[in-house]
Amino acid sequence: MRLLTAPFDPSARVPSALVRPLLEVALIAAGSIDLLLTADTLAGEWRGLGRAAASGGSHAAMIAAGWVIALGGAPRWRMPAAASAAALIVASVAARLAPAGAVLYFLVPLVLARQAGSTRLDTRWIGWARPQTSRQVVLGVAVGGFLGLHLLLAASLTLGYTASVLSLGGYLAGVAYDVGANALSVGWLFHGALFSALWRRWTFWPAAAIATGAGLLRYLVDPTFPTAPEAAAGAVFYLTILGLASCALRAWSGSVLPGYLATLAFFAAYRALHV
Amino acid sequence: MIAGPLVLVAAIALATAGVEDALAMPLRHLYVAPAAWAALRSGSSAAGLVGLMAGFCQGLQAFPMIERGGLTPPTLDALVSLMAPLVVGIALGRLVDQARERGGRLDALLEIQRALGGEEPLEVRLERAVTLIRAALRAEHAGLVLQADDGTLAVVGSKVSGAFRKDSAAGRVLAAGATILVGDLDADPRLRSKTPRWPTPSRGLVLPLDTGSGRVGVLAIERSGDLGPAARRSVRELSLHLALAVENARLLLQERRFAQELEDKVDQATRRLREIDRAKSEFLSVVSHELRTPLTALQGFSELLLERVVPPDRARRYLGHVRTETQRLGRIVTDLLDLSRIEAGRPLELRPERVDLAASPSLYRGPGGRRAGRGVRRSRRSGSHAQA
Repeated sequence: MRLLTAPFDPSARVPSALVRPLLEVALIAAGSIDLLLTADTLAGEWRGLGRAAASGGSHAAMIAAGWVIALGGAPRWRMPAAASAAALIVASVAARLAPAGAVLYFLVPLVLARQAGSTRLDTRWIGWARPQTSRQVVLGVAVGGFLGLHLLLAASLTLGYTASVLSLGGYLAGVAYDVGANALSVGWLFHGALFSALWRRWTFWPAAAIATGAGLLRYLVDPTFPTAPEAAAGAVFYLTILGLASCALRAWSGSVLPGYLATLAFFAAYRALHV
Repeated sequence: MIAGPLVLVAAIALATAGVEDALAMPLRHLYVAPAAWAALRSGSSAAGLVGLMAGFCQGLQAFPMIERGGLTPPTLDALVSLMAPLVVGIALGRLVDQARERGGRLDALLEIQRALGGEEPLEVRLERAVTLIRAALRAEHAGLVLQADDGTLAVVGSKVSGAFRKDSAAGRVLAAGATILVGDLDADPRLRSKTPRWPTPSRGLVLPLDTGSGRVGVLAIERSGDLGPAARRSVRELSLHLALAVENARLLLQERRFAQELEDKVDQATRRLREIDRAKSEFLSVVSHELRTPLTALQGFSELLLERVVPPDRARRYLGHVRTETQRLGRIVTDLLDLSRIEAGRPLELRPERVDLAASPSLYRGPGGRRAGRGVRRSRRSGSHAQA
């Protein structure tokens, strides 16, 4: 028992090493995204590609922020963050060039896993680990599936939306985007690194509320977020519950995987919704 | 555990599905029942989940009506009944949780008191108490440091691999009395640990065991997961009771020690009384023997003189023996009277007397050859007799 046998210095304080690298990530991301968006407006043939790269860059920034938190601000975050960013931007551009290019999104989680594994960086504490039982994985899928199904029913009953897959290719490209960018960056940063770091300081509910709030903010600034008030209110409702459920799953299972799968299942349903 | 309430939610949802005017239907209020059921059975978490499911089911009917009719009194009523299962379930569940927690704590306290007041050696009792504390607080590890009045420490805990340190968190609480909370034992600079390792933080809490009249020790627990204000309050309450239990155990120990000491003293006194009794018996036996010797002589010589014809010179010698034995008897009786006076605490009657030291060298030298004490004056007169 460390409380009985380890020396304890009440005055010891370690200054947070996160501020500087997080600012670094924000500046690099903001500059890059701004540059890419500018490039998007300049040349006609580049139109869309810059926007796609900027989208990949924004997700890469979230992944990089997750690395910074996971490694406690140690300088080692740059290499894995750069590798993830490269994979994301390439996948994003490839998906823009051809719907089949979206398959590259499936490489992003693999790159992330490889970086975490090969560099022997201990990312277990943020939940980058296997869940304890397979039941937790099933529950994650069930939670996301239930929320997605409820969304489909509520939206169709309330707003008259239809649930259908108009184009299988487009639908699968959307799912691939969720797998490699949307759900991954949210799961890695908000339900993984941020929630874990906050949970170490406080209890579950404040940590989950802040992580969910931050995740919600990420969707609110997303250009693809619904603009109609009733649809936006619905999105906020479902994303809040999904965020809290993901944090609960992360805390319960010790892994971000069930929450990640819940997010994937929810968005898989969401992508079948049409006005 | 919540399968029953969830089935009931589904049944109510099916019963109300397809009803046109669902808002006016009183059946929707039944959703509170499964939430309350879950609360009473499994507490607030289960009730919250069931309440949420009930809300989801009602939402499928309420949201389209709100969309169609706007926020009117009936739709507001529908919103209230949508939230009711969640709110009622969580509130009732919290009460159930608190009641169970208190009950569990009281049970644990009783067990701890029983363990501390047992007959086994103190170490065994403390070990059992720590095990009970660990189970009651659902902690991975628990440690107890108890301080005796003379400053000696008894340290008992699960996984105490090293020696107890006075500069540890527990040592500091023992010295200063202020509670210490560690958010994550793996990543707290105060414990010189910086890198978190496990997905679930390991919390640490060290509390003084204060009886109100002083600290009797500290309680330290290490627990994975949350250790929120309610849990900390619970630990604090338990530590208060534990301090009293420890104090009671200590008093009981003291009482037993006193009782043992008293028993020892009574035993000692009884033994001494028996010895005195035996000495008196021996004394009486000696006295009887000493009295019998001159009496036998007196009886023998007097019978001879009475029953036989004894020549005068022999009769005179016999009478001399009778006188000597009578004097001896008189001395014994005088000595006995002196002894009884000493025992009664009365002063002795001293009679100055001339003694022939040459005839009684032991009186002058004393036993063991030492010189006689005060009050014995020696003088030498002419002749061979030394007198005192």
